[in-house]
Amino acid sequence: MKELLRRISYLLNRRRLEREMAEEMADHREQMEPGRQTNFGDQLRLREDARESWGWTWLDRLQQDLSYGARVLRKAPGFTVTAMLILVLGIGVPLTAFRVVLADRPGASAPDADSLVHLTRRAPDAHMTSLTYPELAFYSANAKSFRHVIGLSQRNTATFGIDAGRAAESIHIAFATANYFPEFGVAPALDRVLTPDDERPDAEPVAVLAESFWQRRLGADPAIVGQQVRVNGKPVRVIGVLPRTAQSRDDVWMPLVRQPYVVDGSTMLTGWNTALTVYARLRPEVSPQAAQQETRALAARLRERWPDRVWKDEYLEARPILQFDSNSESFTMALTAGALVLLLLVAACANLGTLVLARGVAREREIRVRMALGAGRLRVVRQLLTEALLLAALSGVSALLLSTLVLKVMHLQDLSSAAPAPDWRTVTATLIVAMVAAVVFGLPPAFRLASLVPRAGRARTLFLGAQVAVSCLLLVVSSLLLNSRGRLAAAEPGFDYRQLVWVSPGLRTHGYSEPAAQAYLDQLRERVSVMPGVTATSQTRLGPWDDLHIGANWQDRQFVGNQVDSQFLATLGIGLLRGRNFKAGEGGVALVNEAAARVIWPGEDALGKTLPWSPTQTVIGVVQNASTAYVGTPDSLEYYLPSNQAEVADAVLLVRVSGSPRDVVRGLHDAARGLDARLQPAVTVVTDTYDREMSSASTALGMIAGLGTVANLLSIVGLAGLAGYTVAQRTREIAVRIALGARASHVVRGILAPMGRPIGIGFVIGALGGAAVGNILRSGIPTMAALNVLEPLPYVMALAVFGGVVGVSILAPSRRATRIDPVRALKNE
Amino acid sequence: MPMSPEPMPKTELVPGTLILLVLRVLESGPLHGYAIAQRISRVSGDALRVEEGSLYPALQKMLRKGWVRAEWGLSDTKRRVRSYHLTPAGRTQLESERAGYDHVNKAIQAVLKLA
Repeated sequence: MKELLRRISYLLNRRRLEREMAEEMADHREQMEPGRQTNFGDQLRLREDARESWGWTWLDRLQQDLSYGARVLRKAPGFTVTAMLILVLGIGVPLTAFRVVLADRPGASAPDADSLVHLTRRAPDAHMTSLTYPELAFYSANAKSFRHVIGLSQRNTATFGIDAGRAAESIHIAFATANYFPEFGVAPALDRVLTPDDERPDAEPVAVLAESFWQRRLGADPAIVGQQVRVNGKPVRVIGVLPRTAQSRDDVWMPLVRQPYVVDGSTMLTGWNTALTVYARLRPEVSPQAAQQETRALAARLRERWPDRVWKDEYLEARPILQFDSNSESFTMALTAGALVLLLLVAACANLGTLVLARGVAREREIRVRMALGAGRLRVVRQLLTEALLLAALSGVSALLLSTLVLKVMHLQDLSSAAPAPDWRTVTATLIVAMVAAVVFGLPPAFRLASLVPRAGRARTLFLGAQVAVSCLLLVVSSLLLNSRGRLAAAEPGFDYRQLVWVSPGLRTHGYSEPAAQAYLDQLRERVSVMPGVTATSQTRLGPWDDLHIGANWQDRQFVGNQVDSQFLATLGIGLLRGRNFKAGEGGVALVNEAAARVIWPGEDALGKTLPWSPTQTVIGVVQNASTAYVGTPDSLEYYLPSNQAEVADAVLLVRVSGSPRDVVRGLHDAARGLDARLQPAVTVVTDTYDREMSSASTALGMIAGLGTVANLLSIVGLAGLAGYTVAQRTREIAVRIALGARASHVVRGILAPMGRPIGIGFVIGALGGAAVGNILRSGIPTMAALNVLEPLPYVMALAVFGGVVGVSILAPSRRATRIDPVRALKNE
Repeated sequence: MPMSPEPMPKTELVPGTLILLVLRVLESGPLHGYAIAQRISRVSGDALRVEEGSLYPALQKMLRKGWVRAEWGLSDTKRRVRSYHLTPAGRTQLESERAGYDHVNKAIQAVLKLA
């Protein structure tokens, strides 16, 4: 330790120490006998030797290397700019993507996020991701493992008006327990957030507004705070504004206990009828497993009170929010996306590697001179590596600036909540990545240059192959996506979705009993049927392409279902192939579509059979194939059951119109509220759902196509650089061949031949990788189900594009090769 | 470099013993660099010669390790010189180096006698 301090003091006082040593040595020399003075040797050399024992020589060398490297980079601005461009893209794009994803994952801003868990209901054969309010209240009061239990209900529809007189507009409202805000680290953008005081029964109903809503609809007027507004017509005081975050797309937030205040007739607080997302803050020293164990006993107690609601052997699964579910599909997707993004970095490194290798040809002379003057091999390698590190550090800093800029734009556009300014972890990670990149692209060329026998080496083949593979992989994936999207747009879902609307009155939320709900629906249907333009109506459990799904798993195949009435087939326009339709009030029967029938009873007649997962239901009809649950799933396996009276309060009304579906939205809304003014009905135009799903597929396509474009640009730069340097390196040989009468095409072939193999191998690897990624995407994105990795067309397209890339990038160098004037070229040598 | 005939054959130091010798010479009192070289040479009856090229790196290393300390002072001839003196750590080091050397020496002697 002391020694280290002493060393550091040497570093700080080196000038004085050096002077002293010089003086001391001069003395020594003077005192020696005149004849022996020459024996003393070179003083400078001696001082250097002595200094080496201070242990700071490496610093001197580093300084030398850095200043030399900086000079080299300055003297070759073309190379420096190209290399930095490549590396800034290679580091900056993945960096930005990761920063956005990490900042936008739930709980990213929560303090001490390790002790925050997401609670879901589990039993040996059941799983549910939401809890009801009675459960929330029960666990909150009784579970000792949890310091706080946090409940959220997001994306509820409501109306918002500044005052009673003015027209109210439709908004999304979230209800949350007040502890949500401190536990998830949500600080107010203006004034204050909800507090436990706001949850007291006698407290005034209050709300906070989301910043984006406040800016977009209220003109960012700070005077709104403290004002009374109307939510669903009820007076509510605004107490603050929430900052924009990616997780919350709700416009207004209110205490969870105030839900019944703004939702008329709601029995949320007492009934088993809401779906809350529930988190908990663990007490210190309590593990998620211990908490889970405690909820097992508590659930058994709760089951005594709600025997038909709480499952046997139920418990709450407590999963830390920052922990990914490694079995889930979304995790696989996240991993795939992360890998795709990182491939860009790989491409950039490989690319820069080829470029640096190619440039080495031009620097061979310089290196030889240095080595002839006594620089050791290792010293030369170190110097070249320092150059690479310098380049990488510059690019890393530029990449940070770039990502900050992009995030700033995204922040302003409400696309991401990531703070534009990088924190120390981001900076460290970026610099580490840059250093690793420098070693990858800098070390092999450095060793090759410093080796005494210059040869092409394997490094070039590897670099070239890697960058071709990455470019091709991204090309193949985007081309597969493009292909499947084209097919999706062309494919009909099996029913006419263009003139279809559905109304979800949300009866359960307002405490409707089953008979009351049925009466309401009958009345609504009567009113809607006589509206102009309406041609058919049907009462079903789920709307087409609803966010909710009912289904069954049989022999590893996913079947999706719905509860429908006898008008369903006519309203959607699905034809009956065999058997008959439901009769009113019928039970114990089922309809299946042709695809499902073929899977369950191959080669047999489905009529009269019972559903394998529900033996009480007998198939009475086979209908045409239609994909009513997920957009873009060809050959969806579907079954339809008659309406279940127990779930009628959740039912929706499908309406087919003859004109534009948008014309009836207002009328349907008014009709639904006309029967019960407390309701906040949601009216969905099915084409909107279709467009939304298509656009999410487009986003994935756009992202991958963007990556592919960048990777291919990199390829063009890299291949052109490589071909150009190859030509430069072999000018003399080419000149001789031309002088001897070689044809231009032969010359070009001679240059390109060594590049052919790595390009070919890279392309094959890229195509295989692309097929693998395509397979993963198909299982992860519902709209990508039509993606077929065996189809040749996308590969041909990718090959064509990549062929173009290769052609463009080597066109100029090969032209230059054929135009070499032998006389001049040989004279110059 | 012209080779000058030496009056007496001078032995190069056994590698690794320079520090031991310097420590030992300093045990009897502070000395400056030239005096250290002189003393070693004289005491050994001119048999051992300390190369200046190795003396100063060795002194720097000893300074770094904290075995010796250096102070500027005036010599007998009124010159400004840097003299080195032993620290307690240097004394300990001297003991351990001496013991190590004795050990090796004995072992070598034993082998020589036997052969």
